[in-house]
Order: sequence, then C-alpha cells, then structure tokens
Amino acid sequence: MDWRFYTPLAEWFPCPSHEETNPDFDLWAFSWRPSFHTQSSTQNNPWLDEISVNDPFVYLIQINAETGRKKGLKDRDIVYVENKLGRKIKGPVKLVEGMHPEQLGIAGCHGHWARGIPIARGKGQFFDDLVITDKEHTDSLTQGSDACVKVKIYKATGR
Amino acid sequence: MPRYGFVIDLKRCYGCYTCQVVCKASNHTPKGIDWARCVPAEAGQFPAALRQMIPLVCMQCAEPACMEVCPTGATLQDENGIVTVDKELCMGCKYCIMACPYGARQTVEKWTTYFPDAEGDLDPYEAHAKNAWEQKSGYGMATKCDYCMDRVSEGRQPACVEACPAKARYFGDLEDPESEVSILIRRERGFQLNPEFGTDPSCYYLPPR
Repeated sequence: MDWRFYTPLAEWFPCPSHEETNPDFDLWAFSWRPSFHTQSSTQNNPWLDEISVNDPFVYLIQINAETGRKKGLKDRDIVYVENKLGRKIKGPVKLVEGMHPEQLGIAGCHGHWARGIPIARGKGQFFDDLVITDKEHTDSLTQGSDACVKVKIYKATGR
Repeated sequence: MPRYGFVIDLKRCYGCYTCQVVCKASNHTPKGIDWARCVPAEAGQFPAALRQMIPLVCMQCAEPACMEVCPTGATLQDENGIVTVDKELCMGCKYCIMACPYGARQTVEKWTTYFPDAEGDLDPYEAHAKNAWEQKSGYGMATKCDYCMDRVSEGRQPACVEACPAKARYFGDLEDPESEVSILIRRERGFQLNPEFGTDPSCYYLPPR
C-alpha cells in the first residue's frame, strides 16, 4: 500500500506525466471547455454546433504558434496526437499565441461517434482517448484520474 | 429625436456567444444568418498574448454606406437613426452587402433546415421559426439587425442586451448626454470600430484594458 498520498493537509504530488523522460512526448495535453457548452450534452445542439464550426478554436487542436512552427506545422494541418501507449487522435491543428509552448489544448467533450446525434458526430476530438486509466494514473485517495497526459504531435500523412 | 446606439464593453465580454444565440432565438434567423455575431481574435505574442472577443451588430451608421448604394430606395433610416430594409422595395441586388464595411448585411435564398437527416416535415419549433422569418423578412432580400425595434417600441431592451450574462452590452440614446450609453462613452473613452470608414457608427466599444 502506498501511503504517500495520505497527508493531513491537501498537497500537490507530481502525476506520472510530470515524470515522463522520453523526449518524444514533449507536450502536456489537457482539455478545456468552451463557455457555451455544458458537459457532453450540448454538442448536438445545432445553434451551438454552428458557433463551434465558426469558432477558430473549438474543433481544432491548439498548440503554441512557435512550437508548431518548430515542428513544421501550420494552421489546419491534419495531425496525430499520440500518448505513450500508442493511442492517438487525429484532427486539424491551430497555432495560437495564448498557449504555453509545452502544452496542447483540446476542447473537451467533443468527438462523439453515436449515430443518434448526427450533428455532433465526428466533430472535434475525443480527448479522453489520450487519458490513461490504470492504477498508476489514478489517485489512490480520491480515485480521480490524471487529466493531463504527455503526448507527441506529428503531421498525418495519407489517410 | 433620439439616436439609438449600443455600447459594448470589451472588458466584460468573455465570449459566451449568448448574444448570438439569443438573437437567433428572438429573430428566428435561418441557418448561417447571424445578426449579432462574435469574432474571436488573438493579439500579441506568448507570453503577452491576449484573446479578445469582438461582438458585432449592425452599426446603424449615421451616414450608412448601404443606404447610399441602394438603387431602389429600400434601405431607409428612421427618425431614431435605425437603418431598415423595406421588404417590398428590396430586389436583392446585394449592393448593400458589398458596400457595408462591417459585414452587417446578409441575404437568405431559401430556408435551410438544421436537421438535414430528419425525415418528414420540419419539427414544430423550426416550422414556427420559418413562419416567423417569412412574415418578418423573407427570401432574396437583404436582412440585418435593427436593434430589435419591435421590442424597443414596447419599452424593452434589444434581446442581446437583455440576455448578456456579463452585462457587457448597453443600449440607449446617444443624443442624450445623460443617458447611460453617453456617460459610458465619455467616462471610459468609448470608441467606434474603424471610424476611418467615415460612416459614423452608432455602436461604441469600451477598451478591453
């Protein structure tokens, strides 16, 4: 039993993504929420989908502009984002200034695949595909899953 | 006579798009038509980058470029400074769309459903919206924001002003020096968007910082 986390006061511990040593996985991926969506229930609303399509951030994978240029990426390039287990998601990238050079942002709760929600289906990316859910990535005290994950990004070639 | 105008506080706007959605709900605009729009923009470079939402409505210019080019006289300016389109006179030439420097005008050729995969007729809500749109505006003609004059004539605020959860939008009489909008423009150095276009917009913005 690992008793390290049972501290009398709340304390921060590095999660495994902070201890990743493989230099290929150089970006921390995290999810964020557009202010007009609620959990995963509003993505099929046609008005909100129309806004999401026209917003330059919601359905795109965002990375820092300078980081993207160093990796040879430009706006709307189709990229793969892959975690160390080889699980990956695909989508267009957006180079932004308002992002830390070591981070990668994905709007949360998108990438639905159910046929019953045709407006939301196939739009945006499913961030949770990247999240690793095993004992090592779960907090033993609260059972919370680590919500950040080390990833690499590279241009998708072919289909 | 009053000159109705808007003040939009860029400090308070956090980009929730409520104005855009409530405008659509209130005015029953079809798919792809937004009289109140939000344009997200980024300025500066990391780590001093700033993301700013720019909410846009019709500027109800004092010297409207759209009215100048209208060949049929369908574009009119009422005594309150609101630029309107006469449904009967507009022939849909789109000159006004080309002339408006703020992109405030759009045209609708036909009703496009939001639910292309649905079978049968439009659902009751979309059917209601289509019916309301056809009565108020219709197809083939230029359409634009009119600061919700139907609501204002009932003593209410425009839909987007009433709904804004950040209280970033104000509506009032620009001619009255004691109105809330006039005081805000004076006190917080309100500015017009691209005044160099020379149309004297009635929509003012308060600086973001």
